[in-house]
Parts: sequence; C-alpha cells; structure tokens
Amino acid sequence: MPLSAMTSATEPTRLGEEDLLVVRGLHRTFARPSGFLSPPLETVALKGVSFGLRRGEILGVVGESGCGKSTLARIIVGLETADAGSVHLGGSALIDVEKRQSVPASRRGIQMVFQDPYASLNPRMRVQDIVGEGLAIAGKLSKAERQERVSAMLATVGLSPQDGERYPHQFSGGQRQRIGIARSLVMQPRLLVADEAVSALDVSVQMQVLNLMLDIRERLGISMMFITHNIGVVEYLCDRVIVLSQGGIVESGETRSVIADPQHPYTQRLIAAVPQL
Amino acid sequence: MTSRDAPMPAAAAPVSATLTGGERPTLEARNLTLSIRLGQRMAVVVRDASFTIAPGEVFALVGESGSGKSVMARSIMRLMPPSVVQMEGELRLGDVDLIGADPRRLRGLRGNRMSMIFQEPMTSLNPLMTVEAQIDEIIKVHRGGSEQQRRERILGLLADVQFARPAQVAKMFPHELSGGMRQRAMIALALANDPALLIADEPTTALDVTIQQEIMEILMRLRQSYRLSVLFISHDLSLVYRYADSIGVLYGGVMVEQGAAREIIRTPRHPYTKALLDCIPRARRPGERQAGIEGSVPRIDDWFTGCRFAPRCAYRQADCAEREIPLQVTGEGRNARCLYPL
Repeated sequence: MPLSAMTSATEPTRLGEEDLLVVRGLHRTFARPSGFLSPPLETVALKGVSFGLRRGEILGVVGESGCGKSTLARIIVGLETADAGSVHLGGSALIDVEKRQSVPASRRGIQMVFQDPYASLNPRMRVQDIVGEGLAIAGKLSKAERQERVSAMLATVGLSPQDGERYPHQFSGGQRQRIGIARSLVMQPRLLVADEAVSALDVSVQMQVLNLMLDIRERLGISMMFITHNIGVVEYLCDRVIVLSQGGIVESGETRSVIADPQHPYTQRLIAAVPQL
Repeated sequence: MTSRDAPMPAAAAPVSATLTGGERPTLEARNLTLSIRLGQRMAVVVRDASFTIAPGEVFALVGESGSGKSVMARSIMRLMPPSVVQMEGELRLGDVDLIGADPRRLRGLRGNRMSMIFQEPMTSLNPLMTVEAQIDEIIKVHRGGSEQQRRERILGLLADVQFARPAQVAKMFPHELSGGMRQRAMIALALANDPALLIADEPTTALDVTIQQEIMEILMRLRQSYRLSVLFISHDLSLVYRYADSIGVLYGGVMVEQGAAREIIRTPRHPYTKALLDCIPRARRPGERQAGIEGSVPRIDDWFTGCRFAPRCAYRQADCAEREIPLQVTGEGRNARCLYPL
C-alpha cells in the first residue's frame, strides 16, 4: 500500500534515512462489544499516523485529551497493538501489521516514563529493586554488575546510592519521577517515551526534571518522544513537534516555526490558551 | 500574525483590587493561623495570613503542593471540624464571623453565601443524579420556590455556563458529560444560590489547556454578571497572570508576597515569587538552561527560625535565618515578607 493511501488528510512528516524511529500509517480502533442493552461502539484512536524521529532528537507530541497521543505512545512501546501500519527502530521492524510482525516490548530497546510518579512505582519494593528489576529479568548481568549499574544510574538522575535502600513513599514527587527515569534508562534504551512525565509535578520540580531530560540527552545521546499538552514545555525541551488531533497528525515541524506560525486551528487555540508572561 | 499576539479577551481586563468607598469586603482574613491535628499534637500549617477579597474581585492563592493553600480553602468553607483544624485570628464572610459560627449557621452559608468547586468534578458530582436534580436539591434546601421557578432557574444557570442546549444537559448524568462539561455543571451548581464567594481549588488542572481557557472565560464572565468574589487556588502563575486581580503567594504556610497580579508578576519583590516565575518553561537558546529551585518545600511541622524560603534562596543573607521576618510594604497595596526584597 502506498504511503499516501495510509495517511489521513495531511502530508506525512518527512521520513528519512537518518531517522531512528519511523512510524508509517498507524491505525488503531477500539471496539466495545454490544452489552446487555447497549449497541457496539467503535472509537477510532489513530487513523493513519506517520512520522519520523531523528537520532538524538527530542520530539514533542501535543494534542487535546482523546486525540490518540497516549495510544500512539503505548503502541510504540508495546503496551498496545496496532490494527494497521508499521514501526521501525534503527532500520529494523518492531511492528509490521501486514507481515504479522511484532517484537515483544522487552526487546524493543524502548522504555517509557509515566505521568504519575505515585502510581507507577511499586510501594513494596526498594528503589534499587525497582530500578534493577528490568536487568534482573533480562538475566544477562550478575548481581554485582546489576548493583553497579543501578547505583551509577541513580547518580545520573541525581539520587544518592543510599537512596536505593529506601522505599518510594520516602521520596517527593520529583524524586519519584527521577526513580522512574532511572528505571527506564538503566535498560539502555535507544528511545525514551515520556507520557506527560512532568504534568503532575510542581513547577519548581518540573523544571528540575526537564533539565534532567536535557542533561541525559547530552550525556547519553538518547532520543526521546515527549508527550505533553504544555506548549511551554515543548518550547523548552523539544527540537521538533507533531500536533495530533482526532487521531491524525494535523501539523508538524521545527518547534520554533510551529509555535511562531501555527497553521492548524487546534494548534492556534493551544498556543493562544497559554498566557505569555 | 500569531494568535498569541491577539489582544486579551475583554473578560480578563482587571478590575480595581482596592475597595471603593468603604464597601465591606466579601472575605476578610486577619492574622489567620491554622493548625492541623497530627496524632497527639497540633501542627501549624498556615501562620499569620491576612488578606481581603472585594466584591467582584478574583484573588489568587498561589503555591506549590504543601504550601497550605488547600487547607486554607477548606478552612474558609469550614469543611474540616474544629477537632481537626484549629483556627485562630479573624475570618469573616461579609459580616459573619466564620470562626465562631455554629454548624447550623455554617450549613446555611455553604452552597448559599459561599460555595466551592474542586479539581476533579467527577468526584464532587453525584453519579446517580441528573444535573438538574443536583442543582434542584441545593436550590430547594436554601431558597425553595415553586417547581416552575426552580426549573427556570436551573435552565438559566446552565445557559450561563455556556451550554447550548440547557434542557438536554439538565437531564444528563455526570458520566455522560466530558471533563469540561462536568466542570461547567459544577460551576452552575456552585452558583445556584447566587453566592457572594466562590472558592475554586485548581478548577482546571485536570483539564486540557483549551478547555481550561474555556472554563476560565466562563468564570470571568460570571464574576462580572454575578458580582462574584473568587478565591482562585492555583499553582499556575501564567493562568493567574491572565485572570486574577490580585495574588497572594503562599510558601510553606506563610504568605510571602501579596499585591496586584500584574505588578507581582512583572516585578516580583520576594525571591520565591521570582524563582517560581523562572520555573515556567519557555523557549531557550541551545545550551541555555532555566534555573529550577533546588531543594524542597519545608515540612509543615518544621518551623525553623527565620525566613521559610531562606534554605533555598539565592539571595540569602546571614540574618535571614536568625529572626522572624516582618511583613514589609514593598509598594502601593503590596507587601512581602523579606528582609532584602528585590
């Protein structure tokens, strides 16, 4: 199927060789079977989404609630399946619906950071076990090597090795989000997907986490897909941005040019909604 | 060119924050201190806060989590029993002493002279009642009137919060409404008895930014047509800048700076206010970083000597941690609790 046939109203984002992540024609429909009295219901979450994410880039994904941005993230990470389309990372296929291919989430080299740092950490596990769990399951490293990697990673995100002995409830929201980021990075992913990772945080803590993201990109050269509804965050953090509305990409480009001259009515409303100080 | 250059909507134009001709403020707090029960002892969570809200004024209480702003809101509504929250100082709603009022008196005030909307409207609406039945209940309790009158009032309220088809929405249950619609229904419910004071505790935090703007515009329109005083609680300074007349910045239980919204945001005098403003992410040049605030908010039960913000303050001097910081007048109608205001 030609690419143009799979994309909705707009042109796909440029898909190039230098892209780390290439998403083509992603479709997803959620169906609710008919219930006792209710008729079946279909919700189209994604209708042909295509874009590329360059190496070392932080790509912002913005859109109103229900536009499909979380579904997109969950499909890429492997928490959700697609009905059509493909996702390639570094040239190899992670998902190709047509060829019935799907690499398990654990082997994709993609990690996710979640929105709520209170709900996404197991309250009964010590921080070092939370951060080291992925490595333990992968089973490639000895216990000593794992511990070393975990404490190095805790230091990278600005926590002390002693913090590894403690439990999540002993940390503030911002520190918990650092733990979540450490848990993702310890697996040495090629791509980090953050779904509203700073929305639940106080502004002062939010800035600390955003700066941590920038530091990590500089030091580890990691690429990121950053989902947010905060235009300020996009301006601060993201090199490029795609705007999703009703399951399709309605606008994309360099952050600066999209924000200076938004074309789509939703993008315009989104930017107008943010008061300038 | 870009829509951000567009003039601000007329509804956001500031009204004078000062009282005109001896008019009684809607809400007045004098040296208000709030303590909360922690096991066997009482811990002070808000200390010595004074502010007034004039009729038609939007007063924003700004602060990070743990600053005491929600305890303040709930105490004004007297939602927490005296066994849990102890109130000292003065707190008046018009001519009513809120601290001394008995439960019966308070029941007559809540939902009538003062009402409150919360962050998550779904948890404040009754899932088993239609929108109409919920609004009707609160009108019946406080005002009464014939069924016909009440029905008209309900449809009028729903139209006021910009529902295009009030009659249709009236018959719906909360789960049939979107997040923004629920918050609008919640506002209609809060305004049912024409209150003097509306407390809005982070009313748009859970909503999408474009819906957030819609809700705020509705609130601003209503405060004019109802001459409503609004205590607006938020951690979002950019939202506050657009919609509030005056601001109180709360940090670790202490009001550190107060004054007209525009002045506070344009020329913050307290280092904490400035630091908060510097935390709002904006466009940057490659390699540049905005400074966050290192460290964290002091614990509510940790009342060390001196300025609450001193341990994190970039402008700290030796004596900042040595004595209590008096309120300093820093300009017309504004003050800050800082020995060395910026």
